[in-house]
Amino acid sequence: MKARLKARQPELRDFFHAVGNRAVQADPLSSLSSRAGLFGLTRPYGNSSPGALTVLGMISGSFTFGPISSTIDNYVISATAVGTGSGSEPLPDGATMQVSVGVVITLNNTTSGASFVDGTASDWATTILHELGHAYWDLYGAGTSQIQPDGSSPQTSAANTQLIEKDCNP
Amino acid sequence: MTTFLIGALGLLALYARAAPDQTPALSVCDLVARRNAYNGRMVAVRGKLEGVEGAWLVAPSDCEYKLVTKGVIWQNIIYLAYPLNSPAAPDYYHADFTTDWKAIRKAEGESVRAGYDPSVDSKIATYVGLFRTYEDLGSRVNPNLPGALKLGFGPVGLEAPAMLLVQSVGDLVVIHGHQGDQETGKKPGNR
Repeated sequence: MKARLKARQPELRDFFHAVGNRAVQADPLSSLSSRAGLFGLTRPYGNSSPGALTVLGMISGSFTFGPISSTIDNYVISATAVGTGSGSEPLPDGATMQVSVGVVITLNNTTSGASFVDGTASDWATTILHELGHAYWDLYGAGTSQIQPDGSSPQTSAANTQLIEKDCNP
Repeated sequence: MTTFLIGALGLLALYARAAPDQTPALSVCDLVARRNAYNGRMVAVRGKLEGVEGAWLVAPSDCEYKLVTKGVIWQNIIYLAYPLNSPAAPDYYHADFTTDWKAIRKAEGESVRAGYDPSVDSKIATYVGLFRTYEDLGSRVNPNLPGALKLGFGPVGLEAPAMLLVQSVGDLVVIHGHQGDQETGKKPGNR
């Protein structure tokens, strides 16, 4: 496992570097996600959220590698996102909303079939955008991305991934 | 009636097994109820497993403890995670032990051999690990914003009031069908 960990981490850094370069040059992630309305949504309480590139930059230091557990045998999970800390997000009416102030995104680098074990760079991007959608909910409140909570439902998880693939890999 | 009693006692025995190191295991219900006393301590806890993206232990629905903060109800569940000692992870994900991967793989193998079907079966296991909760759990809610998230442990939407950083697992039992609900006295499919 350690050997794979060492082998994969530089590749992930390279991947983020490449994504960042592309974003600066053509802003593809921002334009695609904005067009699709996947990220950066404002909810009824007025809890707004910034665009995908901004949040992707915010969470770029929040990734870690490791195994991920599931109760379903042979079900491969490529990544999970969990909120950390707490803080108050101001709402337009002067009220506040408690939200997480950070996230930890664990990328599975130990299970055959996981995105960061056997996938392509495109699979990695899909995985990261999927987790980005969860990070929005943690950081800005429910509904600020179209990616739905899927911890209990493989069907919802698959639907989330299909949404990303449909709208961000046209 | 006799058959039901024998079945119920059998299920009780399944829940009452000792931890792999023979330390008596706490129930999920008791551990959540006494979360502040056990915060930061190594514990053994036995309960029913749930979860797809991630895993957690749930208390049976006859658990009488109700965790309510500022009028917001929390579920009696414990999120299971492996220790993360990388700089990206907050301190409460750190642990100074190594997870017993041999025990984890053994439990996974037992589940496969038992023919576990997540749509109808239940899994019960004893986990040993470092227990964590938030001391400020009471302030991690949005009581005046219906539908807003509670800031618990686990993936968004789980909102667990506690977490166990897993060191080991043992005594896995697969209960076929909906018998796992009988410890609650409820009929199958009545959850």
